[in-house]
Amino acid sequence: MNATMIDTEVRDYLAEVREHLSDLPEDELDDLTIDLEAHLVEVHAEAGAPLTARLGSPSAYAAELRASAGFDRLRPSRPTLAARMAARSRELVAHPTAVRARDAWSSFRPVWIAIRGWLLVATWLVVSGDAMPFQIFPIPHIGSTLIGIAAVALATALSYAAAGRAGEHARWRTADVGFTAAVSFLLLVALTSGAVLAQPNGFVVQGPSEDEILANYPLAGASNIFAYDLEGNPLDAVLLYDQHGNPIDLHPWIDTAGEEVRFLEDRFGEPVKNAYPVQLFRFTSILDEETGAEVDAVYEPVPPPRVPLPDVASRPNHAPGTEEPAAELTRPTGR
Amino acid sequence: MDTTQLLKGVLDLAVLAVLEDGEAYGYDIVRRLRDAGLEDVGDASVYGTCRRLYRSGMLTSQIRPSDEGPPRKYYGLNAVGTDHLDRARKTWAHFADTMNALLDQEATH
Repeated sequence: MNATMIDTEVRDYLAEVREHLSDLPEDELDDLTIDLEAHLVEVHAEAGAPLTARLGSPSAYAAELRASAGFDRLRPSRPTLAARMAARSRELVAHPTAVRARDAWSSFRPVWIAIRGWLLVATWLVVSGDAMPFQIFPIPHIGSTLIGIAAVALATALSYAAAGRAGEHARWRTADVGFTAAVSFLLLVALTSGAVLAQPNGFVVQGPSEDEILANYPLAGASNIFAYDLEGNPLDAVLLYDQHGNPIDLHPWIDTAGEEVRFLEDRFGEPVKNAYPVQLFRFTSILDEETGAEVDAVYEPVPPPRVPLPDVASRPNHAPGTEEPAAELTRPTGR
Repeated sequence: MDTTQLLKGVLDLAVLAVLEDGEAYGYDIVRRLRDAGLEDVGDASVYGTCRRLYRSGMLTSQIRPSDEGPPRKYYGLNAVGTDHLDRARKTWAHFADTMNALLDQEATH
């Protein structure tokens, strides 16, 4: 027998096996077929019985060949993305680091359940922009300290309820996880906005700094003015007006520390608020050395600041009123 | 006990062991395994196993014409196959000892 004279039984058997393996890659199938043909011819030649009696059915032969050649492992379709992600997350969950993290978390959890109620109230107050979240530190102040305590008690009770029944019902489990998520979120917001809140006055919008204001508007920092003539003699009751003719009132009381402000008064007893320097008086109690009781009081004027005066060599040739008209002033004669 | 189940786990080893004696083609390997006492070994299993071992790089393969019919594919052990056989032999010996000990122990109870 030669290759061209293969018995029809062999040919049929071979064709059927090939048919059962037709899903394999073509080169793989051809490779297997070379072996298969030689095999079938040899078995056919030595056996007096049909091929199926010796080798089983073509489909069984194909199945056995496929399995032993390792192709059955190629056949299952690729697992879906969801299945692969699920498998990956199972791996991650079982990872030693994850296990250690869970152990650490479970030992911390009772503490967390105890404090998260307070954290919820406190972070909520901070995030909602409350300038004074606490009057006495750990107790949140919501209108009153009592309401703060009540709010913390309620939140803590909720925290324990959710944690305690998380295993009973999915809804409690959701509440438990949601509680932690809410607190974590608020905490994150509170921490990130902390930098803003920590700024002086709590202003979120950045304006010019105090130094910038003083550099550009020197009078912004002044609450009193002392005028001198060129010989260094202090001038009294100097009336100050700005370029628009408006009297300048520096609100001298704004910078005092217990001193009494005495404005110059017009004839109606009304204060002339743009007459400088404004006189400040300091009030000092004189106490009895033994009893500590006030026996007398002293009013003394606050002395003017010591100032360096420039040594002026010559005066510019300047006569007031000749170059430009002075702003029309209103005499401070009251209303 | 049906030996086909046991054979599945050790057919790789059996084929490698046969090829240690020299190159052989599929049906030749089948016959040698049967002569050695593994009567239950399936033809297709041996052919498939050879193909798989070849694909995993443990065997050489060469197609040679035959006098009686279609060309045959001859398989032989390469270095990887030899190395794998050595290690598998040790593993098998340990496994067999363990199983024997276990089965003897169970028998005495």
